Amino acid sequence: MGEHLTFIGSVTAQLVRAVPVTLLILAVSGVCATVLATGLTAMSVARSPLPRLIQRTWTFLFRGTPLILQIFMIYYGFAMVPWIRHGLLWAAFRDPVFCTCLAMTCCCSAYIAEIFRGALAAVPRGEIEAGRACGMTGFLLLRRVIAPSLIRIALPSYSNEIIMMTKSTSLASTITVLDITGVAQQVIAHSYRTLDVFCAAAALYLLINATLSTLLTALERRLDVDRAPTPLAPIPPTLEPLS
Amino acid sequence: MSKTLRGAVLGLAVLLSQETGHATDVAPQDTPRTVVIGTEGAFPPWNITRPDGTLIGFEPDLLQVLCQRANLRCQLVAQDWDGMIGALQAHKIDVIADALQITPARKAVLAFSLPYAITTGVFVTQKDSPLARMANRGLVLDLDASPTPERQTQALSALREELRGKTLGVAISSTYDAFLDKYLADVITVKSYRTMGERDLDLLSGRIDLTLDDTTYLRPLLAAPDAQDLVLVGPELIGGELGAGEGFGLRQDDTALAERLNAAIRSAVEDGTVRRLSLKWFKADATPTLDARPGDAHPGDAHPGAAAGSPQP
Repeated sequence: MGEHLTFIGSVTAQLVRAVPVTLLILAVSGVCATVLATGLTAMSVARSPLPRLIQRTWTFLFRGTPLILQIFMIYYGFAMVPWIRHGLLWAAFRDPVFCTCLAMTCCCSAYIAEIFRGALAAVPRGEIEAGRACGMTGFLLLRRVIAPSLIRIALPSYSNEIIMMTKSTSLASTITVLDITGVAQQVIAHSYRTLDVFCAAAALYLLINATLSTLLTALERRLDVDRAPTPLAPIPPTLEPLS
Repeated sequence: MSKTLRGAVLGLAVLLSQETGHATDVAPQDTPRTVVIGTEGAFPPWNITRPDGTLIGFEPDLLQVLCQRANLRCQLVAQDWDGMIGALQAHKIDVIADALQITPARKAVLAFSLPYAITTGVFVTQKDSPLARMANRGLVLDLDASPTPERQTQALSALREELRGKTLGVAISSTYDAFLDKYLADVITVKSYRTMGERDLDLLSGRIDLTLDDTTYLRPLLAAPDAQDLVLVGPELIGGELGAGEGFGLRQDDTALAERLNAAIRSAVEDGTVRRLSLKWFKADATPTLDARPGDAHPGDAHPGAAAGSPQP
C-alpha cells in the first residue's frame, strides 16, 4: 500500500511537469481558433457570396474530418511535401507542438464559428433595430448591441467547446509531444502500470477542466445582466457622439 | 557428418514429418487449451498483416508448429504494441508474440518463454546526415561480454561522442529503453513513437537524426524503394540491457503455459524448424543458443545469433 502511494505520488509529480505543455497547446490554439472563428462568422454574413462559400467550405472540411487525421496530415503529410520540407516553413512544421496547434486551430475554429453564427442569428432583432433607431451603425452597433448579446448567448456552448479542446490536446501525444497524456504513456512504457498512471492523468485533466468551467461559469454569471450580483459599469446618461 | 549437414537432414526430416502431421518428438501434454496470442501485425518480417486481414510472418509460421506440438488451440489477434502488455495483464491475451526481447527490465513484469530467435539492434540514419560516417560499422557489440574488452569500451565511448546532441527515435517501450538510459540518454534526445511506421516517417522527413531497431526489421526496410535515402551505420548491439533474444511474453503466474511452450520451442530449435523459418523470413539464421541439456546436440549451436544480420550466401 505504501509503495503504491509512493508510486502514484511520483507519477503525479512527473505528470504535473507536463501540465504547462498541455496548457500551452490549449492557450495558443484556443486564442487562435477564437480569432479565426470571429473572422469566419463575419464571412458567414457577408454580402458577397465568396466569403460565405469559404466559410461553408472551411466548416465542411474541418468539422467533417477527425481531428487526429488532421494532426497526422499536417505532421506526417506535410513532411512529405518537398517545398515544405526544404523550405523556410520546415522550421515550424518540424515542431510537433506547432503542428498540433495548427490542426486544433483549424478544427476548433470551424466549431466555434458555428457557435458564433448560431448566436448571431439568435440576437434579438428588436435590439438591433433599437440600436439602429438610436442612430448606431457599423462597428458601434456591433460593439454596443450585437457583440454583448452574442457573447451572452454563445458563452455556454463556447465553454463546452473549450472543455472539449482541453481533452483534444491529448492527441498531441500521438505525434511525440510530451503533454500530460504523452508523459503518462512514457511512464506506463517503463512501469507497465496502466490503471494508476491513467487515473493520475485523468485527475489532472479533471482539475484543469474544473478550473476552466468555474472561470467560464463565473464569466457567464457576470455577463448575465438580469441576474448579475454586481451591476456592470453604469450606462452613461447620454449617448456618445455618433461616429 | 558435419553439424550443419546433420542439422539440415534433421530439419528436412521434421519438415516431412510435420507436413504429414506426425510431430512425434513432443507428446501432446494433458488437455488441449485455448490461448489468445497477441501480435502487432506490423513488424515485418516477424508479423505482417495481409490486405485480407490474415497474419503472416516468422511468428505466425512458428506458432503454427509450436501450438500443434504443445497441444494448444491458438488464436492470433493483432493489436498495437503500446497496449499489449496491459492487454496481457488484463487477460485479454495470454501470450505476446511480437519480437519481444527478453530484457531484464521486462522480466520484472512479465514471464518469458525460452528464446525462439536472437537478433541484433542496429542504427539507421539518412545518407546525407553527418552520422552516415559513424565509426565501427558492422562491429557486433556484445554488452554481456564480461569483462568488457577494450575494443568495446572504445566503441561505446565513440558512439557517445558521435551521437552527442542528436535526436534518436524509438518505438515506445522498446527493447532499447534500458540501453539508451544507461549509455546515451544524457547526451541525446530520445523521441518515442507509438508505432515503428510513424517513427520511420519521421526518420525520412529528418525530424529525428537516427533510429535504433532490430536488424531483421530495418534491413528489409532499407531495401524498400521509399527508404533509399537511409543507411545502416555504427555498431550492432546485442546482450546486456538488450536482452537474450526474442521470447514469448507471458503472465508470471501462467507457468503451465510457459512449460508447454518451452518444450515446443526446444524441440523446434533442436530439429531445425526455427532455422528453416528464420532463413525463410530473415534470409539469415536467427536460431538462439538454448542452455544445452546434457547429451543434447542441436544445430543452433553452429549458428550463433549474432550472425543474424549477415545475409546467407
